[in-house]
Amino acid sequence: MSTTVFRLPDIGEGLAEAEIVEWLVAAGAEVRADQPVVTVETAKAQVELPAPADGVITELAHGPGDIVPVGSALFTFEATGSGADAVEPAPASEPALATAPAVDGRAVPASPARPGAGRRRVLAAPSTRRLAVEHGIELAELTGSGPNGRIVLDDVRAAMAGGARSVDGAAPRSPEPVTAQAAVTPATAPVEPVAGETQVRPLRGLRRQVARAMTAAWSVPHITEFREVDATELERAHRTLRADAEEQGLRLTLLPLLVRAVTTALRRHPDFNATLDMEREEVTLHRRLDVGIAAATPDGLIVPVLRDAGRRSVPGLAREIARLGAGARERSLPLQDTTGGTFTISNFGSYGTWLGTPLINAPQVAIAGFGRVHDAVVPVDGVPAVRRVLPLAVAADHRLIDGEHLGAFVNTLERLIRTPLLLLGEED
Amino acid sequence: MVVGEIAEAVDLLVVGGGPAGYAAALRGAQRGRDVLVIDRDGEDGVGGVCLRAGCIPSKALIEMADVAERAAGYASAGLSVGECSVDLGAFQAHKARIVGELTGGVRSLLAAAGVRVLAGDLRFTRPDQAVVRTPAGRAAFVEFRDVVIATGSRPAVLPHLVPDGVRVLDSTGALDLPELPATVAVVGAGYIGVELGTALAKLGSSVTLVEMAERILPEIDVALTRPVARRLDELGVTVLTAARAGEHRGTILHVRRGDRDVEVKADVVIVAVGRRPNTDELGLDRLGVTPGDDGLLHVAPDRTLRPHVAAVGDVTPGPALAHKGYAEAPVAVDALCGDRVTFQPAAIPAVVFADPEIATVGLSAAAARAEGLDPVVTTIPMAGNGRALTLRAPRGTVQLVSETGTGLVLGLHVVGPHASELVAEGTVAIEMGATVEDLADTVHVHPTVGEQVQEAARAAAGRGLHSASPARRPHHHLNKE
Repeated sequence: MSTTVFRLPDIGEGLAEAEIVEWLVAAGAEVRADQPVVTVETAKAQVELPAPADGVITELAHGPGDIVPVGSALFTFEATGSGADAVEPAPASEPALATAPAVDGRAVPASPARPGAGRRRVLAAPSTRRLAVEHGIELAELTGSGPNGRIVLDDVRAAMAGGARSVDGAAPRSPEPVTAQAAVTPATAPVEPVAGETQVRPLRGLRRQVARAMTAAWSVPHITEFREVDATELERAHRTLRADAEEQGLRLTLLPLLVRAVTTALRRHPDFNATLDMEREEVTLHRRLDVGIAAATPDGLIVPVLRDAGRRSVPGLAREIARLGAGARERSLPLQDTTGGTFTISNFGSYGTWLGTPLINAPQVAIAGFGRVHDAVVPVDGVPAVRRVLPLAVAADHRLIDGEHLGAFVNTLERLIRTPLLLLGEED
Repeated sequence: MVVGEIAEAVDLLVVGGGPAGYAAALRGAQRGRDVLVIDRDGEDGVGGVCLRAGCIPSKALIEMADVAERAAGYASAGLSVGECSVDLGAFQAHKARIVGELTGGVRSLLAAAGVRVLAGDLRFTRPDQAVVRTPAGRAAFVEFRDVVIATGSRPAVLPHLVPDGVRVLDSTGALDLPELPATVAVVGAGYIGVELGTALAKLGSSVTLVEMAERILPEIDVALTRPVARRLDELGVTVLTAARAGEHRGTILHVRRGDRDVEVKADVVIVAVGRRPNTDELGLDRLGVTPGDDGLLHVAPDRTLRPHVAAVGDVTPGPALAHKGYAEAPVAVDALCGDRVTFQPAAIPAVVFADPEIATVGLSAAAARAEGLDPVVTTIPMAGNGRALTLRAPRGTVQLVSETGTGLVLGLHVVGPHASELVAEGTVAIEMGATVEDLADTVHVHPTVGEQVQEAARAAAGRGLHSASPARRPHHHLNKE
């Protein structure tokens, strides 16, 4: 008999966690090798995890609905037959400990990969620890690939690239799930679902991420300014550039020009290219312009980041937006493409929206939303004229930015859109 | 106090110029911060207790005493040196040269980094402001963005044995002795008391150690302290354990032992009963910071106490050792600069410069068991080591604590010559998660005392070369995953 702790493996999607959907066996049940034991769900798929060998499931470490980080214990298992990893048999007087006393509320698993059920700290060299701390990665939640389960630099790098959520001030924070107290109390009694007519569906995967991020955004006091801006000249410039780009085999939308207008405005109003950390009561003004572009996908909203957008040419922006858009739709973007933005653009005009109220992507301090360009009758020199009009809304964090500053930023943005030649004067 | 005086704006304020403080100042300068150090003694205070009145001067005294005693010991080998005579006045000048060279070096580093150092006693007046009373008695206000508190510690005082600088001394006074006292009582047999007592005995004083606990060096595993106890006995040092020092009258120190009074002859009494953090005179309440009941500042893992305030060195929990302060300082400054950092060493080594030296890092066997681990202990004596024999110091042991099954190095405890240098190997091994196999297969220089570490590792791995007895339970099945 030997005791094994079965841990949540990295199911090969580079994800940091999965949700327990259902236990297919009860604690104490005898199982055969490869018999499915538990169904887990990641952002992408449901997976059944099988028993590693013939034996008995002695303990289930989590209940349905629990979110479990990769590498942490799922169940303990007494192997009866062959096929289990041989572990040092414990002397009869001392039953092998499946888990040691919890440290920091976390049970320390004992397993063949990490013998010693004691409170030994996670094995990692100082340089590895430093990297993990910098990127907000919990070493205890990683599975080390080194000897005795030692975590090496590459393990941390893999976690960084594979969706271990950073809690770095410059990356999207992963808010705690909303508790009942934090949610708004409904004015009416909760509606009981009627069988056969309604569906109850738990929040899962990306949708849950989006829900948490939006809850966090709601704690930011927004002020929003709206404008309808004459975009006749911008469209004319766009047509010229588009024809030229097509000869180069590049499809050019209006969005790269809007990004260029935003980066130019950010240079003149650096307070808008910032992140706010209320815990430290510190504002970080970022020199580089890393502009996130909100992208809709079938599963939910993803915000890929245009790195150093201020230094890219308009065709360069177009290529990068195309690459990020495709990656977002396929859900194949690495973490570095979806974190660390300093300002966000929401191009809701592409869904036909006239005007909306964009929500700030905390800890950033501002967001610009662009609606659909349309014909409108506007007074030009005192006579009605039909012009192409671009509705826009810029929201800012009122803790940092007052209406006057917001107005100045939107004025700059309007001037650049009305007179797109000014974009040629942008320094980098 | 001048009210309404214009405060000077300071970007990064460091309070205290000791190892932790000056290291923080240098790190701040590296990070492009504008740094001001306030030290009670200004430029003269740079280096702190460690460089000026602790680690360094005590090593100067210990080394000289060692040479005197060792030279005499070579008579049987055919070396005869003259009668040993000690002029502590000349030693003071020698000590001052060493200290001057080191503190001068630190002052140059600070100057080259553009760090300003001012003299004065600092008290916080607001969460972002402090008043500095200069030696001239003027009050100057500084308004700071960030502050690192590194005010260190001072010798603890016994109310009936208050240092007077002549007959009752603290550790600082003991190192400033102008002449060698005939009889000395050292109150407290922790590492400071044992180090000073040993040195003075070797130079010719008649020394008595008075310790409240049941044994000397009570904080260190008894197996490691035995060679030191034996050596003290050889040197003619009287050790009174389970004893309480009372009054010092004339040249007699009255000591209470159980229900008996003992009279200890002592021209000079040295009090070495631990150290107290300097956190009581700073106006920390105005800063919005409260020390614990132990007087220590219980910092977060990144050494901050609240935004813009960090503390390092002897004022924070953990061993009051210079190397801990050196290691904490850059972490604290990086945290104040907005980095995500943590002070998280796997182990902090500690050394007693006794005879023989004791150096220890990581877990003892008992501590490992208390942590729920299953330790293997391999002990290799110094006696068989060639280098130790040529040093005429074949005393002590190397004790390696590792984990059953994995062979992970959990602790290294060395008693013997150069133990203070050997322990670094164990510290690296623990930090890197090395196994006894790793140490066993690392080539060590012959002849060195460090070979005993390799031998202990070989024994733990079940393949001792020079040690007949294999480990109790050798690690035959090291995990190869």
